[in-house]
Amino acid sequence: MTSRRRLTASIGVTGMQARAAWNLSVALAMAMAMAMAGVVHAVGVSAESWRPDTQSEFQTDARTVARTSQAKLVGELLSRPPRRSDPRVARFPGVESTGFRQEEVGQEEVGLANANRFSFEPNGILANRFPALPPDPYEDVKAALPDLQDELWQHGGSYLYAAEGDRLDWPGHGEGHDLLRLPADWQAPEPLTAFADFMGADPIRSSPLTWLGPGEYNLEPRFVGYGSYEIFGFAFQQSDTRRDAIGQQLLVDLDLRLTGTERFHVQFRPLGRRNTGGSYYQFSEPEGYLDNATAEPDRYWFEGELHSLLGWGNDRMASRNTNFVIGKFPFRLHNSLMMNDDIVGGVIGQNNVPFWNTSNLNVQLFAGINDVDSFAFVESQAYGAHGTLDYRQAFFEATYAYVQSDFDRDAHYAGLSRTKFYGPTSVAIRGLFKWGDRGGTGSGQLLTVETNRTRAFQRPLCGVNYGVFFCNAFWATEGWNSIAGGNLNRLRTAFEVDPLVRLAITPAGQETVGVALGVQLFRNHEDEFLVPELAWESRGGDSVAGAGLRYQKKTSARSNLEILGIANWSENDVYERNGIFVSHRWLF
Amino acid sequence: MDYVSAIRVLKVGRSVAHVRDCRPAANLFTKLVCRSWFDWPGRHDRATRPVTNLRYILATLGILVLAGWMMTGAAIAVPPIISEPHPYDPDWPTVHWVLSTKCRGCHTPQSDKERADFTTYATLMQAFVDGDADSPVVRVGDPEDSYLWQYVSWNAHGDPQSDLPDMPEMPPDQANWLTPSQLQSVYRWIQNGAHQFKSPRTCRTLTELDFPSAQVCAQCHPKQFEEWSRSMHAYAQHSPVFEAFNLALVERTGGTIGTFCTRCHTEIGTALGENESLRNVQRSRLSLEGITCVVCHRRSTAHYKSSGRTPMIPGPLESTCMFGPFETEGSMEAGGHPSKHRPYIKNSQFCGECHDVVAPNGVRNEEAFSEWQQSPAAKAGITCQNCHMGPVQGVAIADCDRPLGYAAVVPGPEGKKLKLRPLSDHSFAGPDYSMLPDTEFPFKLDWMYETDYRDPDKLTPYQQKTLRDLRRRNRASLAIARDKRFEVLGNAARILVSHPNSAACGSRIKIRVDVQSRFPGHNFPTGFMAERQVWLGVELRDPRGAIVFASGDLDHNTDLRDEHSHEVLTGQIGYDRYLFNLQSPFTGLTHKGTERTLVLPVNRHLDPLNVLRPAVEPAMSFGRPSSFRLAKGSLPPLKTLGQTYPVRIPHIPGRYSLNVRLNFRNLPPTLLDHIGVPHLKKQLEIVELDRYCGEIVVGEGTLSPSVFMRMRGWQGDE
Repeated sequence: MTSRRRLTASIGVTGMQARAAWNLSVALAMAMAMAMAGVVHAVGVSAESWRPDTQSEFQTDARTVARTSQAKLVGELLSRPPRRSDPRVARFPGVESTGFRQEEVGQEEVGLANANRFSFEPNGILANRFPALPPDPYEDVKAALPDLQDELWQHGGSYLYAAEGDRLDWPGHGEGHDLLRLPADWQAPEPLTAFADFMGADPIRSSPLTWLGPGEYNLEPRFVGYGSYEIFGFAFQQSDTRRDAIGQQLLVDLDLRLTGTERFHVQFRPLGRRNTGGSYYQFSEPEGYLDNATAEPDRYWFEGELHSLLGWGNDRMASRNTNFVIGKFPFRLHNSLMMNDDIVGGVIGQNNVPFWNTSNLNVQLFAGINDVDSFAFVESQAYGAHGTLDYRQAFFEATYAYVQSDFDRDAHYAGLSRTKFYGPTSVAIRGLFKWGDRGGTGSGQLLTVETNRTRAFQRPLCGVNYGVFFCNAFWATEGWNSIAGGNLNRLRTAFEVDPLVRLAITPAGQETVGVALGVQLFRNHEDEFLVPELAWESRGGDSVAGAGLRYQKKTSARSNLEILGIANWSENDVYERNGIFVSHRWLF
Repeated sequence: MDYVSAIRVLKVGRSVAHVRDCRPAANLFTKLVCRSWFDWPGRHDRATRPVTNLRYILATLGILVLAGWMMTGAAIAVPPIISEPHPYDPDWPTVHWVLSTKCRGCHTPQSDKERADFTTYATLMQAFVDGDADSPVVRVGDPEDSYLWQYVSWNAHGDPQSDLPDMPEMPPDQANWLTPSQLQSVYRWIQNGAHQFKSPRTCRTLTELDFPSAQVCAQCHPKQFEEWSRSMHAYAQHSPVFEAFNLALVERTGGTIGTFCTRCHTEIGTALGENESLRNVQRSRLSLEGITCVVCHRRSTAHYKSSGRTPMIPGPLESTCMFGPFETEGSMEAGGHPSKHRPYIKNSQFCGECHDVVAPNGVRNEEAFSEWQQSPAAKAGITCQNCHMGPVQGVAIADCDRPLGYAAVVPGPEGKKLKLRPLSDHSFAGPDYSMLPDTEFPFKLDWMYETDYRDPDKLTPYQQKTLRDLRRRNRASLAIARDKRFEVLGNAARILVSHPNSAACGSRIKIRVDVQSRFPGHNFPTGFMAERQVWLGVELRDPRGAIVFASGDLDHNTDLRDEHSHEVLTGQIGYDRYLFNLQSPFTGLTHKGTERTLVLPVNRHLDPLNVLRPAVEPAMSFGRPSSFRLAKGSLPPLKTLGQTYPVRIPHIPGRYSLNVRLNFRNLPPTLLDHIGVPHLKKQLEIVELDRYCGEIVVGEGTLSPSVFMRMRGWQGDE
């Protein structure tokens, strides 16, 4: 978010001081996290690692260019010597002469008499030195025009001579409104593409291939290969077990778009299959390289829209706006609390379903015919319906699912969520229910209240413009478990202090209540943020308190640094956790 | 086509540069993958050996493909060898622009036998004045003896020393007189041999010569051009707000958003190779025409919801087909270009190719067409063109009821061959309007590109006069555009208000306001609905004029008192608890599972990077990606939404005035702050779509009907 007030001047510190103070606070927080984790390997954040504020550089450049070009134009005009003039006869009826006399010109210019027959040089002309045009007989009856300078002032100047207008030094401009701009000659590196550029500056080429039906929509194939590579290191201790490791993860996505609505997609995780988080080398016991490499694609699907695929022309009764997907794809329900898994199956849905006075009803029917990693059986099936609805700034989610498993563990799930915005406050209430599962944990439920509130700071400290405070609370009964949490990264979630995340991955097992609160602090145009967090939960009577820290910073246009820290305290040693996780990721 | 192969050459050249940049990364990738798969001590036993072998094969294939890709690129990227002579005159594009935009309307093959034909380069070079072979229009190498030069030359500098005439013979319209630079180009072009610009076949790229300007079309289609020129189609790339919004998103996404936005706003500019970071001041004049004539009329393929990715057919006007809605195709005898009937141009799907914008990451940014698909209008067979291309904006008209007229005005006897046709309106009125000064939109003058017009004292009388005329013309045109905009907005919705006519002091009353959509075709608002604001302003004042209740009022930045108001976010003022707003703000998933509305469509809660790539989840099938959506609050077609306002009446008896307004604003001020154009906030207009004024009589205790009538009568006497 751009800052609306000049940040540091009002609180009496310079930008460098503010930056240093922020560095210090981050370093202190890091040190605390590391101390809590008992980490020996120091991870320092040096002051040199802060990159300069490139936005302000661009801003300065843009303004300099604008002013320079404007000054250059004016300078050119003023520096030109005045032309010699002499009485001229205009070829307009009724006008004999413009009455120009040589004496009116202030200076003589030598050599103009031998000038070319015509000149193409820019206007180097002073005012009122031209042959006059005949008067417009209708000038008086024409509508009066506002003064040109006023007109320009009201509209931020001319946009013909300066990039984004000359702005005319509009009051307040540049005082708290930073220009977020890249240079005009910026060339973003493209991903691997074929058939067409990805968002490139090129003409669209039509393919002779078409879909079916009377509509016969043309294909415009485009292949894009992209992904990310990440290296990470962590130190983690749970109870008496210590694990220190470094590792890597690679995600490769291959996307073949056929039209604006149809595409094939395949995702590979060559270094870390499924939810393992990557392959890594452990320094502590069990020592060695934990190889999670695989050449199998992790996800693969085809999605499209029926109308595009089958045409149907202008049939008024034809079903429209109906989307579908088949293959193996990620499937999330209720903010991953009910389900977050890769399933093999299909979904057919329709968006913008007209229903009552609602703004946006989207309905999906889903069938996970295989690979639903439920806690009862890893090859379960799930069938159900899911709907989302926007109504009066409130967002509703409703789900029914039937999970078919072996060992008499068939279960029914139902969930209802409502997210509502109250000005800067957002409140999400979820009720997730399970019944059946006679061979397992039986019925269960999870009730959550998730809130956040945004607060901007009038006098930002250390460049922090605003923070999003949050407070989440939940209650899970003994029998609750989500449908499947197979898609959550096991490695990374170990460093999550929020007990709700654990509930998405593992069964509650015991009646659990908990609360987590913290704040996400943004600075540097949201290019970095810090999230200190506190949590408390009670698991079957055992209290667990926790503190967490998350820090992320953009290190280049395509890379970022992430640091996670966690410390849990409990009288029950099983729940004690300490750790730090550092990673750097490059996107391509 | 030729240009396809040429583009491929250029593209490969670029990809080679990319490969070179990526080589260190590729090496690192190879090392890491190979070590992890093959060398690292791990679990390589007999059972996993087939898998290991598969890895070897795949890795080898991958390395071969990578090497082949790099080598192939390097081989193709060798500069093309030009083996044949080719004429190249850099002045020809300017001369072509001048001839096609200023002369071609009259100098057509059929217009008049006495007039020379300037349609093509060949006809121009063979043209003679009065058929006299000794009087060529262009005498190669001798501009002074060329009639073309003699007709168009004039003392454009206002140079007292010049013996050039003070006004040219041609063009007749004073605003079209050639500028000094154009005169220079014409003179130099003839002097240098009057060559045509023709790039070699091995390096055929698209240029501005491949797409006729709207000004060329204007010469035979003045009605359509005039309507289009003030439309938001013409303004699409001109808009300083769009330019700033696009550039801000380019920065936020590290440039990866690419031409996603400019693809629609300036399809020609993007096809010509203008990238997303280019400022408007650096773009070509043709690019700034935005969604110009050929963007719609040179599309021969159907692409459904393609977010503007639709191909245009390049080529010169005289030989490239234009597609239109008329079943009776225009003949070449009466016009200057081939034409063909294309029924698809009258379908909503045709509009939906651009007016349904889904980002590659699956965010449904705009879905006017998707809304129409499910609307009552679609079921009734009413298309976009019925409502938005009729004489009354926003009101459907059948094709048979459209006003008849000539689609073109062709000079000369051939013009009489034209047929009367039902004409469409090309105003495309919408909620936006020009924020440019009246000197720069809809029309500009050629000399303004060469001479800074901002200081009138330094302009020649010709320039001063044409500038005044231009401003008058622009203001008149913008006034029509404003009327059209109000027309379409006025047809959008209305309010229904219910409230008690009387109340007792200290009591609590309820005021109910319902907003009823009058659009059958799509939600209201639609299009760029994340920033469109439609809200209710409710104000109850006591007899002294003091405000008792207010909702929909503005803060000091003229923002609504919602979560995007800086004063609300800093706690200076309270948020508007009862605000009724049909805006559909961008909404991002936060770090802890809750959502938060955003001003810009970038979510930095989960990640400080916003690199735009195709969604890694089937977002369209779920209606949204998991971490971002639009909190859609728009009013469905022909539906009603409302708000109840509870008001506690103070202990002041008398007549209370109730004012309810249904307001519309195309952009919120905070957006202009965020994208770096706060100076344009002054240009934001709040349009009152509907209004209700009422009274509530407040008395001590409960009012009986007789007391109520007496009070009203008494107050009426007052």
